[in-house]
Amino acid sequence: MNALLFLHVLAAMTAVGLLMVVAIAAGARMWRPARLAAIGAVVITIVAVGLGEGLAADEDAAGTWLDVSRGLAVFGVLLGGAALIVVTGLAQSRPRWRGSIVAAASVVVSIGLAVAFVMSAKPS
Amino acid sequence: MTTTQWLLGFHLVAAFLFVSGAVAVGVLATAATRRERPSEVASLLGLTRVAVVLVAVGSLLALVLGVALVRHQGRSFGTGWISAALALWVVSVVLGSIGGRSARHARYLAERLASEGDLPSDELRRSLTSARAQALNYGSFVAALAILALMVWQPGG
Repeated sequence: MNALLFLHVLAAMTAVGLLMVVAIAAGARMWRPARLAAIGAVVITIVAVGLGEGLAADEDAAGTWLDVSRGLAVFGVLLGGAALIVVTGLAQSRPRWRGSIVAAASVVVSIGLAVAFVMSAKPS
Repeated sequence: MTTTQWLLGFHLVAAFLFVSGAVAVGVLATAATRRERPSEVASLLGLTRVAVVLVAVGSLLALVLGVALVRHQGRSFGTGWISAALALWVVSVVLGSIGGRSARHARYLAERLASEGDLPSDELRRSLTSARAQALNYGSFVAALAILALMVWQPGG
């Protein structure tokens, strides 16, 4: 179970790191690295969510904190990451989108950090 | 929420900034090694500075909040996994700082070459792929992962 937790946290940290790359590279209008990082972030987020579900099943975990973190991970990080893949692909011909994409990627990073907070503090 | 929950929550957020920031630095630095033109290398290495700030803030906050958590929970700093984590934190920060100096040197070189014609350079390639710098940076990251492993397994309680 500890191995599952370690891999879950490591995958989540990697996903957030790649989302940071999206925000940083988009800020410099480096759309190709930004898009590749967004794709990587989505793939690794799926892995992190899968490992988290395995962990929750093993521990028989339940609670509002788990529902909230699931919601944030799926609707915030996963869908946000998927949206970033699309917009970083379109941004090459739309230079005015730069600021909005940096802001959006920063929001997705913040959601990832919020998930980490909820998962560890377990407020409920 | 209890004080422990607040401390634990923010401790993990800080740990995310530390490790995720290191991932971002690694990805951007690796992307730089795959570019030939010094201007592109300089741009990518320049971007790592933002991630380095996140690593610095995260590592410091993770240490401060971790120490606060140990004190609040009445644990001993002499406990094996806690003292090992503190030692590994020092190792990670020191190796990362020394490795970062090589990256900074490579960025200065790339900026100079970019302003002198922007032609590919063997000196820049050697600087980017220096085995010593890579060993230091990987060592720093492995030490951070070892801290994470200690936090998860907490060997010896």
